[in-house]
Amino acid sequence: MRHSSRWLKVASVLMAFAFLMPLTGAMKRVSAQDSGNVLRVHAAVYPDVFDPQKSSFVNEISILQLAYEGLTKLNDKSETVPAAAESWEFNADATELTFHLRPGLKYSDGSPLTAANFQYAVQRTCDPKTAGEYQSLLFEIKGCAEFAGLAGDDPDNPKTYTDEEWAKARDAVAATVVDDNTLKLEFTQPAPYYATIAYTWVFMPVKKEIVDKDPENWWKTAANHIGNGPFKITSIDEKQQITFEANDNYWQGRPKLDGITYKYIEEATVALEAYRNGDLDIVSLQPQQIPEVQADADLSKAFVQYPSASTFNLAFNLTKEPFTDKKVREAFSLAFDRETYCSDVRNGDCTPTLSWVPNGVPGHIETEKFGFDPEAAKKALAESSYGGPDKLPEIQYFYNSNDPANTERAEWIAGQYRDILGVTITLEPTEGTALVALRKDPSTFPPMIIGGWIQDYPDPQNWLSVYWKCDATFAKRFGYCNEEFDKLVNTGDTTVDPAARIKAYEDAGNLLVDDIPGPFLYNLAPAFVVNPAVTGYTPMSNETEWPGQTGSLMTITKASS
Amino acid sequence: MLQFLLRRVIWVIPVVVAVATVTFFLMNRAPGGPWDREKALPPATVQALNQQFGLDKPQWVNPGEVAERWQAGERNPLALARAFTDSRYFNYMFGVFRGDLGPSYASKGSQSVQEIIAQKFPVSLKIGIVALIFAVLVGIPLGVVSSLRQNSLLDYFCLTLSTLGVAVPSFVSGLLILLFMTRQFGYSPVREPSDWEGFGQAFLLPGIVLGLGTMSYILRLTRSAMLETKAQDFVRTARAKGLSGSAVVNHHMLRNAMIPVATVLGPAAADLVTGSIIIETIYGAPGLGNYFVTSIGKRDYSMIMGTAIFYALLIALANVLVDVSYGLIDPRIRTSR
Amino acid sequence: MTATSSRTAAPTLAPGTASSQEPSGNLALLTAAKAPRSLWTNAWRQFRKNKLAIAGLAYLVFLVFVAVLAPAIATHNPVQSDIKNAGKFRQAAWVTTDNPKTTGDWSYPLGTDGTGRDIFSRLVYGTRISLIVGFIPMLVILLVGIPVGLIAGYAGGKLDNTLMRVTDIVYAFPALLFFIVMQIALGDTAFGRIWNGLVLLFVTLSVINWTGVARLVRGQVLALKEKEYVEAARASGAGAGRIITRHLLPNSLGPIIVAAAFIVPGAIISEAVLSYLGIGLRPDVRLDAPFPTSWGQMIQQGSTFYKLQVWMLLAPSVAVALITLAFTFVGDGLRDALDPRSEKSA
Repeated sequence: MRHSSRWLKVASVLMAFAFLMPLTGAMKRVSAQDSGNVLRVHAAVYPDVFDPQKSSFVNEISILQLAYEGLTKLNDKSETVPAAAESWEFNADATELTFHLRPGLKYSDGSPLTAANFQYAVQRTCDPKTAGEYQSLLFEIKGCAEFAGLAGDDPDNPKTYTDEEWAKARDAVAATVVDDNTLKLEFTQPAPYYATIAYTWVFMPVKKEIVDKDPENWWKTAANHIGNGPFKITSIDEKQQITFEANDNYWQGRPKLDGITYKYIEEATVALEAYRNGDLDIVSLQPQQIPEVQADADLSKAFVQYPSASTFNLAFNLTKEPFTDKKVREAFSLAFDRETYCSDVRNGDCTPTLSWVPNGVPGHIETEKFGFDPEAAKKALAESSYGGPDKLPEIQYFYNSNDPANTERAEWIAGQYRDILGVTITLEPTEGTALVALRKDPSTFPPMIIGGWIQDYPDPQNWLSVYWKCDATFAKRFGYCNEEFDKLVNTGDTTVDPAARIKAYEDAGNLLVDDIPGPFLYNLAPAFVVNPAVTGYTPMSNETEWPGQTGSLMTITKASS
Repeated sequence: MLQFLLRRVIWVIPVVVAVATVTFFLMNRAPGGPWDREKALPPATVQALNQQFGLDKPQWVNPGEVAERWQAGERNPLALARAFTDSRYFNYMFGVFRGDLGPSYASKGSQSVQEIIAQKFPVSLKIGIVALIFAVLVGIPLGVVSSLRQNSLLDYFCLTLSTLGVAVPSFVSGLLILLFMTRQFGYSPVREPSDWEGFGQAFLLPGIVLGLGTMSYILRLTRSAMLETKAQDFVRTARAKGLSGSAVVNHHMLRNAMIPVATVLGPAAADLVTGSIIIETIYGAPGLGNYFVTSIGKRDYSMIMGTAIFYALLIALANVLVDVSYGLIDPRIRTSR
Repeated sequence: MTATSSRTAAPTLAPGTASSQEPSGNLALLTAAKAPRSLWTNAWRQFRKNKLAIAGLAYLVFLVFVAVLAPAIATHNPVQSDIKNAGKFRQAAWVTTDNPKTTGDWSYPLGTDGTGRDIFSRLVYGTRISLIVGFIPMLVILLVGIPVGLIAGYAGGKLDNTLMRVTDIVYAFPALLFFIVMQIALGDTAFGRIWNGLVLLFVTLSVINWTGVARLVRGQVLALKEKEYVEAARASGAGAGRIITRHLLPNSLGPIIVAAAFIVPGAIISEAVLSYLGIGLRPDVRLDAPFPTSWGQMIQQGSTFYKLQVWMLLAPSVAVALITLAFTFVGDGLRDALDPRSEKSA
């Protein structure tokens, strides 16, 4: 029919129009590429809270580390080096630690930064009203646990306290301002690792007058982030981006970069595409993207990967059958092919391990115990009180279903146990928050789940005492308690002599391996593509968000000079 | 007509209450609560937060409070009724009737749910509008053309296009189209926050991808309606009277074929505006759909309820509009009401 | 787009098609009055003439066979991952690479996935869930939606008003939001576990979608019941049941079928979207698992790996596209066959 040609024209013009319109965006690329000496970093998950005394997640801390600095800091070899404090000394039995601040320290707005600001950080952390997730990090400081415990620990029947009691408890926290440049901490027991803890976010000196105005939400406004780090926050767009600018008032002077932009992109494919297009300088890769990047001629040149200080294990609920039986746990450890899991199922984003404290952290031990051995695994299961796979109760494997990639991993793990041990495992995909709720205590803790620990500070105390002691939050959740282990780590925690101290931790680590509380599986090895023009950084093991985020902030640069 | 309209609009209230009630029940069924974090908050803090947000109250009704008041000598039935309804459900619903969707839990109360909706919804709305315009402007002409050239190559092309539009999920089409535009034309997949203000080109690609499904549907609908009309008496009469081809198409066939399409638009618009969850995630658009998924993860109860109520209100009102306009378009149905 | 499209499909057709589909009175009167029984025989005769429709129907029958006979057709166990021998990301059989672990091999016709499972076998087994997820909600939707629509439209008055206001309530649920909340709230209950969560999934799909069909049918009936032939039947003393089953239902079928054909791909895609959001069906790794995977899950997994192994994405996508086409053709064929004027229309 004749008249259809007119409709055809209308349709094709409109189609073309619709698909070509977005191309006006192409012009944008030119300006985006010309980003100057500003590092554009991809971040996947927008943080819940970035308030130093409240934050706990790596994606939150990677923001705080740019804008704030504690008393000490880590260099690119994970060593504790001077930062806001130029020196410090312990007393003889390591129950007192005195920090000497650099004279003339300034906040990013030019106002003076003194020991009182750090004292406020300690007090605010211990404050029961702040209720930060890392409060317990400071419980070795005298008075801190008492201050935090004012409200009691029974949720249905909290204790009440008066303002006077509160003020009294606050003043009892043993962080003393000796003079403007001297801060003294007193501990309940020897704490020789404390100079390292002073690098953590809870020591970052937020300004009291800013926090007091809006204690819950002050951190949402860029202008409120007056800090002492090498950068300052200049804009915050929730779930989109955060921009940083070099801080001229930083004690070490201006960093080489003019600024940093965190771009929040949830969809990994889109982030990688943005890198290809020249819109980003550093993109963190999902494990499923690694093979694709390595196979690509251009991207493989920009591929950067290094081991991180994080250990993952197969956590069991030790209070419930069948994992109360150590032989069953042994069988499950022996039947796990860590090599294949890391290289193939996780596409090389991890390295197998058989011990808890990762390589590179003091206290690390090498062991061959309970590694992959299918025959030994079958034997161990036969020797268990169940006598073999048939009498085992139903075993459920829980995993976080928020990341769809976990499905394939769970299927592989359950498949391995099916094939090697003849055990039937029911898979329980569970949404993230529901999983957190389940993991709160042993009565609901999943029978089997991937657990793990990402290091807060490079000291074995953080790995062993904080996680596995009988009264540790985490050990309590799945029911691990070994008094001999507690004795060893207590020795480590309170021994001043470095060699004796590490020896105690190593013994504790070996004991942990023998107990098989949950087979140790792997250390994550985060993978990135990094614009080859970016230089001046040495990746270190606690940089899980991007290479250079901690130890190389002053030297990393995009400028070719 | 006015009475009909009034009745329907009033009915929107129970509809929204029903949606809110079901959402409330389901939401509270979900394991975990708004204060559940990897490293647990101190119990006293949780208690204080529960008190602040009224989560310490019983879920549905509060007979305990009635008993307490009765013991205290309260005999006023109104006060007792209020005590009985001093529960999370009723307190929330009373708030809704006062036009208050409550404070967002995730913000620890610093932002109200209305504020967040007002801030995020425009982005979803704009993407939805682009999607609708795309679906109509491309779907109808293609549908007309493929009906006029039935079984031609073009018809088969349209069939393929509409099949893909329905059979390929948006998280695949969204990504592939984005990749194609980047590789072929240097389209930047990264947006500046300011791109989402106003009505810029940032909305185009997500809108088009979102509209693909509806476009396919409108295409098929137009085609089938055109084919139906073609065979009807009045078209043949018009042709017999010697009207030109295009006049017949424009004045008779298209007009009649547009009736079904017009009636799809209301519900389609509501679906597009409320359905951009995946697209927003892929294109990094700071809209309400994307925010809703986050709210579920955080068990931000008031935000989940607020979004459900807001969307239910939108859909219910769109529905009324459709029914009304339908009566206007097609007099036959109006008389039969 | 996707999850909602399953709904847009049905309800949005609603009143509009009613008028356009409305048969011209006299012809319908003839067909209906002369030989009501032969309506179906005629329709079948008409349907058989439509080659595409027959092809679509044959394909659907074929899929049913594939689903039932999956264990016999599949070349490998769909849940057995065998990275060492099968190699991961092995290409489709006709693609050759330098690496013996990834080069095409006819024992893995469509290659393997990231943990060395045979794509072809998974595709075959995936037919089961996809057919169930498509068909059962469609049946439930039709079985609930059609009677409600017929009764509301025919009875009119208070009953009509009551039924329609109830559908208003269900209709106002934002579809995808409702899906997500349902899955998270009920996914771990005993009910949510039946058949790996399949039952929960199609209950959700059905609950959301029946209102669309009900509105659609009601609109049809409203338009039809004023027609002369219905009046004539009523005058000749036919009861309500007879008028509904003999006159109103057959003449409303056209648009219902179109809507029904859209429900199926909509449901399959909804399942894929839920997988993408991480709240889809539960995986099952028992060697004799009846429902080890679905096309929706395969699309989700394929969408992250398609650059390495394109058939991980292509195979399930083509499967969904083909089933969509099949339903479209069968739907078109049925509509033409049941349309009293169809012999004259093109």
